[in-house]
Amino acid sequence: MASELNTRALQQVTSESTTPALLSVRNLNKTYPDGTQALHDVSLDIPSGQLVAVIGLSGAGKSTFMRCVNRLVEPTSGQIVFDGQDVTRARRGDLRRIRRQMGMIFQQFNLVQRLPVVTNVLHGRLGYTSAVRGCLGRFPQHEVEQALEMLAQVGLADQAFKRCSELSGGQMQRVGIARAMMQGAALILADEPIASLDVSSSEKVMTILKEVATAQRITTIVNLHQVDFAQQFADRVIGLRDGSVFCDMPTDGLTEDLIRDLYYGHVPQQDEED
Amino acid sequence: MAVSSSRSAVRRSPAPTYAHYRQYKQQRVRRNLVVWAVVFGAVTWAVWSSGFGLLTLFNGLSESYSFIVTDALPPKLESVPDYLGPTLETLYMSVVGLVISVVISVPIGILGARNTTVHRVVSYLAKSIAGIARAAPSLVITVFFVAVFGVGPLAGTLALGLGGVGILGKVYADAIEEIDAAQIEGVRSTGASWLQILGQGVWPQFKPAFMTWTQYRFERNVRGGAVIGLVGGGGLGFSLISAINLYQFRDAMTIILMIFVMVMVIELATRALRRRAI
Ligand SMILES: Nc1ncnc2c1ncn2[C@@H]1O[C@H](COP(=O)(O)OP(=O)(O)OP(=O)(O)O)[C@@H](O)[C@H]1O
Ligand SMILES: [Mg+2]
Repeated sequence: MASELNTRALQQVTSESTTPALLSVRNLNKTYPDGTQALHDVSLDIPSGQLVAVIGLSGAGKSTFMRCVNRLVEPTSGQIVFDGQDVTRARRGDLRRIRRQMGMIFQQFNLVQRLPVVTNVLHGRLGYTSAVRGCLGRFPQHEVEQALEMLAQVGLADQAFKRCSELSGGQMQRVGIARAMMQGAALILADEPIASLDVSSSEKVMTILKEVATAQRITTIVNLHQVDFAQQFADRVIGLRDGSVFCDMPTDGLTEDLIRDLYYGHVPQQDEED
Repeated sequence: MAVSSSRSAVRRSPAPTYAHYRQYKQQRVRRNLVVWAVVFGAVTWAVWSSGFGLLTLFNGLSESYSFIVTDALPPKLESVPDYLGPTLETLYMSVVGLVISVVISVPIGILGARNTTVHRVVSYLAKSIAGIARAAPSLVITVFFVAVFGVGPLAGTLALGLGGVGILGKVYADAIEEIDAAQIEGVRSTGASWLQILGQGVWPQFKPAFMTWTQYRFERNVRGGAVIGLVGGGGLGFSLISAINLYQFRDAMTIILMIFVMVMVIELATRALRRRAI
């Protein structure tokens, strides 16, 4: 197994080490209360403006990793530094300020179904709004105009006043992106944003994400099941296996062999049903 | 194989077998048997000791028939205007009682629900308050308030209000616990604070249940308001018991009919209102 250790060491070469990382993760571990160890000593540096795809089998820990970054899941140990701020140590108010700089996009969209589309986009401003005004959903005119502008950017200008529940999946995901953009985030975390979409909606959503990442230099981490989409859109690919970083490289370094190893080179375990 | 063993990060418990399945099923059956045995025993005991029999029921029916026909009919329609005041009083009591219940129950529901509470201990306390309010029968609460504040609508209003906290506090908390966590997570991920999550994530999902249960409680107040009047809580119920005590059974019948009409009108009205709101 020494050879594998060597290749892994080589593969962990990240981009220019001179660029200060926007997100820096050190020795991140997560064990769920039921004893499942979902993340095992994960360390990464992600510089500004990169679009990073995280791939790996179901259960590899992709979602857990992403949720640790904005602490929707509490890490068990390790350190996460985002833009010079220690995320893992942040207390309530600080954590909210950090979260508003990280837009999150979910597989199931996680929009408030009974509210109109434009209100869901405006939720991106909650982190900047006073508690009471935010609670009552009173947003100033310029923010409403900005939200309508965002909706136009993702091609949903004509859907602004529909209830979210009336949209198609692909449209909902674009609302999710608009909400994240509305946050003015420096980092976008997208957890399988296209897993429940058809191919053409998937391409639309990924193209928008890519545009946002390049045009506005917003760092984007995308969990993906589809390796081909990762290869088509990402600058860099990180492979997770059983909670550890298995490979981490620029997209064009990803070979068929590696992919096979990541997905099928699994040492079979008694109950690997996925 | 040092590497591969370090990779088996995910903890596994032994795989369940058919024997486990059987064991699980038998446990379920045993538990159900106990429940059914207790229910059956309780029903038998209750029927036995209350002397419930079809013959007594039949005799009672014919007795109440002659009472109604000879003593209480026809209702004295000319005294309807006399009881309009008490009717309005019952309605006031219902409305004010409802406002009291809602104002207390909304915080109890939010703090009681596991997903919105600030701490487990607070959730437990909030649910306990609702539980205590629910445990006290409304007639007992009314008698208590009558003893403290004297006969009249104030005692009835407070009794309705407190009684409502028992029901609404619980159903609000239950309804909030059932809302979709993913939508809340979406709002939380933007950096929203607790109050903002409540307003923008919880309330839109909770609103339909809130409307339904609050309306239901209002109808209950109108009906219950008539009953608690019997023990001194004011309103139509108080007029009813007074009429009965004075052997004015035709007046009593008039009041019963008015209660009937009032309840029907209120239910139709709230239903129409709700259709508009949702
Ligand atoms: N709340 C939880 N409690 C206990 N175990 C959990 C919890 N959430 C996830 N896990 C476990 O942690 C491991 C990693 O899960 P995670 O959801 O991060 O995987 P994933 O790579 O996102 O998978 P998928 O591709 O299916 O979304 C899995 O074994 C999963 O069963
Ligand atoms: Mg996942």
